[in-house]
Amino acid sequence: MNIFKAFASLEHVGGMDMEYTSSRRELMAQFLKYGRKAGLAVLPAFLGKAYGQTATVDPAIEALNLSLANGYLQFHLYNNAIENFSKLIPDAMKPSIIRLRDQKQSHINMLIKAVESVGGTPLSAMPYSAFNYARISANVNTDLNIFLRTAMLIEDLGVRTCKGALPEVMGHAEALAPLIRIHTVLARHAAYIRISINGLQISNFKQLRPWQSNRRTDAGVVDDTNYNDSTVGAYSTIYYRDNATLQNAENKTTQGGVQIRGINGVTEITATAAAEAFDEYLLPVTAKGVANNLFINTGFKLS
Amino acid sequence: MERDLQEAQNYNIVDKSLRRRQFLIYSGLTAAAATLAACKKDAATANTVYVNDGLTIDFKDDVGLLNTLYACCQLQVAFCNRLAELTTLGWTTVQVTYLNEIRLHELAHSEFFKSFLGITALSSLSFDFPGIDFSSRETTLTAAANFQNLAVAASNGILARCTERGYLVIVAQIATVEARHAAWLQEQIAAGSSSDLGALQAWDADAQRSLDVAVTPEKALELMKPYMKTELKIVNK
Repeated sequence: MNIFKAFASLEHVGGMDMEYTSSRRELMAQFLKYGRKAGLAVLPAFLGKAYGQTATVDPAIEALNLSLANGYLQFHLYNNAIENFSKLIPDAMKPSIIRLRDQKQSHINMLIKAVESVGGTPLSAMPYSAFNYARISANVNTDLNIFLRTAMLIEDLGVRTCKGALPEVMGHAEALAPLIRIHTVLARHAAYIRISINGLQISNFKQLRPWQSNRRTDAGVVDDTNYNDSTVGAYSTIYYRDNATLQNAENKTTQGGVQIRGINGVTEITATAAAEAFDEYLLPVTAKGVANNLFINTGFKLS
Repeated sequence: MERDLQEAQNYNIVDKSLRRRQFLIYSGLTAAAATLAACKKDAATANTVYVNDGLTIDFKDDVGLLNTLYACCQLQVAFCNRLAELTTLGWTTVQVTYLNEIRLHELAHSEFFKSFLGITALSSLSFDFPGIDFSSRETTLTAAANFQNLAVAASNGILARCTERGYLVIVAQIATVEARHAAWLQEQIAAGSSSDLGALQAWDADAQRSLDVAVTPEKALELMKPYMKTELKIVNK
């Protein structure tokens, strides 16, 4: 459904204007005839080329390669720790971290195939040296606290990036199918990392949730204006919005034009619960910029 | 209402007459829906009107997909409400807090679909949970995780069939939240189990290729059926 056509067709319904002052019967007749379009007319303004990028490269290829780059970013953090810093990960956590690393290796393989399936050239393999993992601290491989917090940023970015990639790959069933099923695995990984950070019970993270949420104090007081529960301001772009029109920071409480906070009189759905219930995407153009700025070294930056 | 309109305007839509339409949609639609639902002879034919009698999942377009997820979210709400009654099972404080937050998320999903789908929505369905053992945390958490994994699987099957970008985005935004729920619940049952895709074969997870669960919307409805007291009409499968 072309959203603008749907609106245009609502405008001129049998010569009648859609005034609220119409009689109830006329109003119902309008909805009866165009009810479905009216009910579902308000969609997120995620309309592909709406963000004005001139597409010299197929957006599907771009989006898949961006997800692939994220795959390398994630893989190397874990792989390097497992292979080269055997004292970093506690025994109880090792099987999970190894499994995350292995699953990310599989995802890389799947994404390479996916790019090829839509006629693209996969990104050249990115080595560990392509990435800067030391942004929170140089102790990323010797301090479990720093390692996990770095992992959290990278996983959270990965989920948003993959989510923003999905619409670009619509129409390419062979590539979309694996991307869909990689996307929710990333969310499981992200949750596991967050649960592990909470398990350390370090200052400022004692109330960290498995779901992306607003900042909470260690006493549990939530600030629903603070969408960055990683506590690191320099990384806030991971949790922020694409632009002023989309207003899609992670503390957003409207979805598809519907206000979720207090929806239908359910007052126990607070702004934070409303924000938590829906994970946000990042447009590929934004996600690429965030990855380049925060994690990718010169010489490897995505163009 | 004014704030909703402002936020709706933020979606790159600035036409004044559209603002009026949106006011009609949000203020008038659910009332109209309630009235229309009671008038069976006004019910839709396939070519003209789409007014759901409240029990129909029609797969002729994406609305059937969204209603499938709506049914799944309603099931989740009902189960979470049942869980909330089990106050003597010895939950930790964190478990009580998080289980409640999961319940609020599911309620948010369910109410979202009710509003978003308007007159095309299923009605409020009734559920019960025969055969689920509510006597221990472990069995209860296992059931909870199963329902979350079902929701992820249903979402992923729906995502593969969506034809509208906007609906795909909404479903994707819910899918990852359910996956996070499932991960947390699994970690409560057995630490380290949250990434074990090999344990999720009931919903077709592929451990070898590290791909998550996904079932067709039809299969998702079949899996929900034992818990639904209301019988749904499924058309155009």
